[in-house]
Amino acid sequence: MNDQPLLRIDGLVTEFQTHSGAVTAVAGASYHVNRGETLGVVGESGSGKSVTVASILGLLPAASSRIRAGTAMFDGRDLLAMSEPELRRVRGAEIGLIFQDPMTAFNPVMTVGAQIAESLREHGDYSRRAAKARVEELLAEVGIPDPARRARQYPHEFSGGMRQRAMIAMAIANRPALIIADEPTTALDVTVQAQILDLLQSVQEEHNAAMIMITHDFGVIAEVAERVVVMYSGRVVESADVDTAFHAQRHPYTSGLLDSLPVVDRRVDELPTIGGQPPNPLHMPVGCSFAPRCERSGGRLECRVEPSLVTVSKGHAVACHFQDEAAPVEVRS
Amino acid sequence: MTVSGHGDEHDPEFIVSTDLAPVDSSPEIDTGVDPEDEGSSGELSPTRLAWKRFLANRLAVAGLVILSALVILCVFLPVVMSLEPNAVDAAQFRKGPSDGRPLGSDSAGRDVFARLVYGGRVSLLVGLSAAFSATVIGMALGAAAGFFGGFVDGFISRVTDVVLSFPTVVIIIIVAAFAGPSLKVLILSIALFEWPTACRLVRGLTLSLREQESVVAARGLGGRSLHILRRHIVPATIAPLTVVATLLVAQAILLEAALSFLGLGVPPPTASWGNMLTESQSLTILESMPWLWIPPGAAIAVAVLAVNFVGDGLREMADPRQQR
Amino acid sequence: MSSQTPLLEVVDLVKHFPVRGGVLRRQIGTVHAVNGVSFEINRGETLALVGESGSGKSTTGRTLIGFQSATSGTVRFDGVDLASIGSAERRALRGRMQYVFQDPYASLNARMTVGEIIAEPLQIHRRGDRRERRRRAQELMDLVGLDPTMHSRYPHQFSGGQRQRIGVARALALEPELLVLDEPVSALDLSVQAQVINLLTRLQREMNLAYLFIAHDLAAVRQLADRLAVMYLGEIVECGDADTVYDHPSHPYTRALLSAIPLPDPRLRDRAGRELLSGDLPSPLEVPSGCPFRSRCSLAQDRCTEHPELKVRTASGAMSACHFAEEIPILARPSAS
Repeated sequence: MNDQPLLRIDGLVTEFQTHSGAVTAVAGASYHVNRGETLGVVGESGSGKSVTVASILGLLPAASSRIRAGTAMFDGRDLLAMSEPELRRVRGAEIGLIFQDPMTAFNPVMTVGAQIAESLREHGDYSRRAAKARVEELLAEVGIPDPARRARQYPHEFSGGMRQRAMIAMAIANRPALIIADEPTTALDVTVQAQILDLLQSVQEEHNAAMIMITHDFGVIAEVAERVVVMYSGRVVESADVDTAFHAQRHPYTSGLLDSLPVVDRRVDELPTIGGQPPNPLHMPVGCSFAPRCERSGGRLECRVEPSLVTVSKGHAVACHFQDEAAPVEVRS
Repeated sequence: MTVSGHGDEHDPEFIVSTDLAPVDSSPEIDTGVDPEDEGSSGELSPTRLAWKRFLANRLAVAGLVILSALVILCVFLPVVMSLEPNAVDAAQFRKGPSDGRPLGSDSAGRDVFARLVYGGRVSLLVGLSAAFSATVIGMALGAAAGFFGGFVDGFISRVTDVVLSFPTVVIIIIVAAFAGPSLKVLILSIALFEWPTACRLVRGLTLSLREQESVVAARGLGGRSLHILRRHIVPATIAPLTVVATLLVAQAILLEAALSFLGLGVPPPTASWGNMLTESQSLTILESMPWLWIPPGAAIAVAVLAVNFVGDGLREMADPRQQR
Repeated sequence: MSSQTPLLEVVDLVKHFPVRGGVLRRQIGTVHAVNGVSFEINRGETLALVGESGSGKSTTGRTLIGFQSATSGTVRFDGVDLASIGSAERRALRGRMQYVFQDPYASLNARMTVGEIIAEPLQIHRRGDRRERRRRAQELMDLVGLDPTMHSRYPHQFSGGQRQRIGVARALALEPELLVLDEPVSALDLSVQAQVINLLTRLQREMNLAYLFIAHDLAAVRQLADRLAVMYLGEIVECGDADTVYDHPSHPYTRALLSAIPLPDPRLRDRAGRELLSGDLPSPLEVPSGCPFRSRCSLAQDRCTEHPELKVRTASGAMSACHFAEEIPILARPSAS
């Protein structure tokens, strides 16, 4: 049994060229996913959580982006060193992708069935008939009623939740070892979201696939993740198993964020908040990027140096110079 | 919901693209300035940013320089040099370039260079004022049509259609016949021909601007129509309108040339680039006296090209989402 | 118009949109966005109007504030029926009832400075000269937690959370008594959401503002809501005191909605009471007859073809539009530690 991680990202640095200058969207991100496990990657906008994944899959706009450093070992091969045709093969067959907006994954002028069939036949040995049968099987597996009729329909004829299911069907069609879901339920209503999350988990179990769930919603992470990676400003600031992440976190950003979440069954006079806003990627602070907003830092000199991700206990790594100090909770509006 | 109506339940916008990657919003980095950041510049208005974009387009800058040069030359050369565009000297009849007359003389013995400079004044004046009038008329009518809709829109749109379907020359001949050929009539006629383009543009823009949240917000605050037009609609149309306006200038210059060529434009003896070409209508002149027709022809071509380049630059400037 | 009259009364509000199609653009259908909605808001209180997409909550907000005209129904502000007054009076009333938009960028004119944007309502209603307006704009910026020296900057130079504050400042310029907030925090980053929620709480306390808080995020709403109204397919299916509705929902849809919210605590992952709705939201073009929730409800029976009235049905005092309100099993509310 191979106990090497299925995917290991190491020191990834991705840069974008904007008309105001170069922006480092990912500034040295490292994390891994083991076979069959669900990893939650959580962060706000600008954290680099989506760009990281897009980088290793070769999905960035080539003209304005550059991967400056890092490796992405997937099943023993470095994705960053692969050519586009090789990556395309991996993307369709070994890594399944689920996006926030299903309309961008589907070609609006082809029927849903035809598109899934195309993916099947490109990566596997299917006759037309076999592909058609498999498509119907897949649509049924993801809970789409009347799969034969639906397969003949176009994406715009599906409702939001159903489109998302169809996208899941497309992602698992070739039985990938890894499913990457980028904000798959953010655009959905909460009742539909619950259905889709449930589906994702059963699909994952059924196919024994690993999953990376990228989201900004801590509730979703708590529901599905086994391990959690927290990203801020292009870097990983904390990584731990899910219980530790929620109940024994060490990074002030993680604790600040969790404390500020409004929760459905509790009303407080004032929510504890993290002051300020995420840094402007054009003017990144020197050293720890969270320091300007960090109460724990208190302006100490160490924070002028970027903290590296350090393992503090089994499976728990934190990037903070003072990770052993408890973060004070402050109220601010 | 796939409803065509004014459903406004904030439907997610369907981005139709056959790209595999929906690379999330991260690449569209929010470069909103951090207020605590002292390095940020102060009032970077959208206009300033747009101007910077314009300056990045070399052809547009070249066009602007050339156009400005033409205008300056035509306006100021007569001040520093003594030029006699209408002085007839039979002895100089169709003589080539010589000392004192760098571009020779025309069929009436007049100094071609002087006529070129003075003619430039006329042609550029006609071009600029006709285009300006057309733009102003078109903007007013277009904004009214787009904003008020209903009967107003219907009426203005029909008038626009009618004007567009008339052959230009016919209108101008009729107008010239009634009012007598003169500079004012010429400018007015060209403006009357050109305003529908501006009108259509502004009407379309207004229709879409009217539905934008910022306009809805202004109405919600109790804003009256005039206020909304003045503060929200018109400022947003200025940028695309300048593009159209520059093209109208080019068109007006060409129209003036054509009309003067037909004898319907600037009445002699006043020089204009167009009627300088009129006088070059014989084969002999075309073959053996290039100084009579090349200068005005080239002047028209250069002016029109320059205006077009400026228009291109303005078009880029007006679109803040253009990626280079 | 005593202090006993509710500040805002909405009675049987209906808003239908015609769907036009075909060559001649005739009406081929109707979107029943809002189908008879009634509620009240008192001074200084927050009513949260929650629902998912297609529920009609945004349309309700936009219709009652006057961005579009209602198909039928009455809206009374401080006892005055808005339909019965002339446009001059209505414009004056606009000052007392303001709207905060969902998209903090689209609702601000990119060509105006922030100071001008905030002072625009004052300019429209001709209050004060330019200097006074600028002073007031700076005052308002300070009130919402923005640096007043930045009044000459443009919206694109601010972050999302700041732009939302600008929108709030603008809404406060005329010193309104009621704010209709349409998803004010859903477009913001998590770390900023809490700041804005706190701001809204503080403003409400300091200025005795009433809020109609329209949202789909029940957790965000919890912090501010005194009362809660749940919408489904254009109707209110449950309405009552916020704590009551959260802890003892008396409509199956409310129950399903609450149980579907993922709680940010992995220890609550397999909690009891989780319910997954089956099926999809019916199209607002074809609202089912009878109870609109009938097609997805686990308690649905024959009786449900009869359209249930929104009224008090249980001891808790909340109003519910379900024939079987008493039989709804109590949701086991796990607590997040």
